[in-house]
Amino acid sequence: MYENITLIIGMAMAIFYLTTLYGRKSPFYSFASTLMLGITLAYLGVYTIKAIYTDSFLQILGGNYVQIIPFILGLLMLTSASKKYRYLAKIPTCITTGALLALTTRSVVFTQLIGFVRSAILPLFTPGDWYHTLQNVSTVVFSATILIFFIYTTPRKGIVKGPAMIGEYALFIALGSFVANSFMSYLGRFTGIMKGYVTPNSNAITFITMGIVVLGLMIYLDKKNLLEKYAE
Amino acid sequence: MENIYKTLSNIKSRTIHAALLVILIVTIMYPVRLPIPITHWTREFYESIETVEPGDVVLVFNSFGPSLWNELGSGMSVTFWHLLQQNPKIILASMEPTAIPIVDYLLNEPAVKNKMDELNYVEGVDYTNIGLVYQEAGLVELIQDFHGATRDEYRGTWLDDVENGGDIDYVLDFSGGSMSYKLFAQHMYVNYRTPIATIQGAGTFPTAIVYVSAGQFVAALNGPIGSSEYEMLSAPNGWSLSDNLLLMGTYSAAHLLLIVLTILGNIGYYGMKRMENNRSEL
Repeated sequence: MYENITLIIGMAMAIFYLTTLYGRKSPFYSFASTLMLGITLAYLGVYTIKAIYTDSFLQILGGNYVQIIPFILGLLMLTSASKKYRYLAKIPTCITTGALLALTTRSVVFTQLIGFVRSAILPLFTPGDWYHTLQNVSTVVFSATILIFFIYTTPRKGIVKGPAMIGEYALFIALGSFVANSFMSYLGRFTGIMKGYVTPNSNAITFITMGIVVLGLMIYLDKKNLLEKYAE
Repeated sequence: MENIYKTLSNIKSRTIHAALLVILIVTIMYPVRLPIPITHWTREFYESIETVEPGDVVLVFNSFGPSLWNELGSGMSVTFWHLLQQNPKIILASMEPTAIPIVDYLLNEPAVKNKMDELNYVEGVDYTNIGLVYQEAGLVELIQDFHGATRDEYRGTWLDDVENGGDIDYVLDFSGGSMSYKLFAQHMYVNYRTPIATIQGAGTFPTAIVYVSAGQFVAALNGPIGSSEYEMLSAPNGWSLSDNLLLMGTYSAAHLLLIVLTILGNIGYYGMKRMENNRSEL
């Protein structure tokens, strides 16, 4: 029974979100997004309160008085809700940002600078293995030409022009691939959800019926010019 | 002819969305089985888990929430199922509050649960779920001082010997696009050179494989497609193929639709441009 109710609610929410495809403001979408936002915030709020209780209150009560410092910093963050005292919220923000930057900077030089540059230094020709030869040549050539493309202090002429153009087109290919991968990622999430709602066939009948009902309501509200009014 | 070009170059987004929705629903309800070639990324991932030895301490770190379970859940399940066969000691942790229930989903997945029962995995003896390790600061503290980060909660258990990241033999990071994989590269790899394998969503996989090429990670798995390939690799060992494999036909159909629409749109665009040029010449 519980599983059926959650399935129906899930189907309804999915259909409400899909009403955005109608192309107009949708009261169903507004309802679903607001509800989801509220539930997520409530969930995060509960876990945050639990984390503050276990990692702060209980620690301080247990004698770990160092935890008073982050507790006070956390309270200072709440001043961002006040117009008069919101400047105090900058203190914990600066401390946290500075600490995390320090942690990251000491290692990012090795991982994202030296490590990546080193990985681009590859043998151009691998005898008998055309695949790795092509892979290595394209890695080296495109890494170099993309870096040349990003040199803005030199005019794009002469010896710089050709490599910069190659780098530019390499960026187009890379960004296109990135967008295609992003599409695949969203497709994966969508199909995974839909799998639960359209299989087995009994679920599909329920889902499609609910979809038709909601679509009918959208068309009716659209004809009565009530979509924008109820979407707010 | 002009009307055809005009229609093709101005296909309404509503039409595209409706066509995509119909194709997705039909191919989910009536799956198309297509052959799935296994890429070297997935083989490397499989082989990296095979290097885990009995008794090794493995950190299984989850960073994604329920929204990504549909995309990465099967990959998470099959890789964890495979890891269990190596009989390591497992520390489970989550980076976000929303990631915590995903670990419960994982442990209650029927195939995972059956494997754990078969291998007599006991919580507190063979594996421990330490819960929330909040963001970068929490993860760095965990890597540098395990018992400090966990407030000495696990003293007196099998985790007594785990003082820092150097005592962890393998990291299985279910990143799904969050920054945890970068944090492991920056703090775990740099300090301890621990083997790290990461599961990414399809959108962030291109950025993660750079770390594999740089030698900082041992392997990366590419979202739902990599998960399906991994299931094919694991199937001979008994993993029952999940519905995720059947969705590969759905992905192919959706991508084919996009390719067809791209071609039609370009035909319409260049057709219109040609007609305008002809008109201006006249």
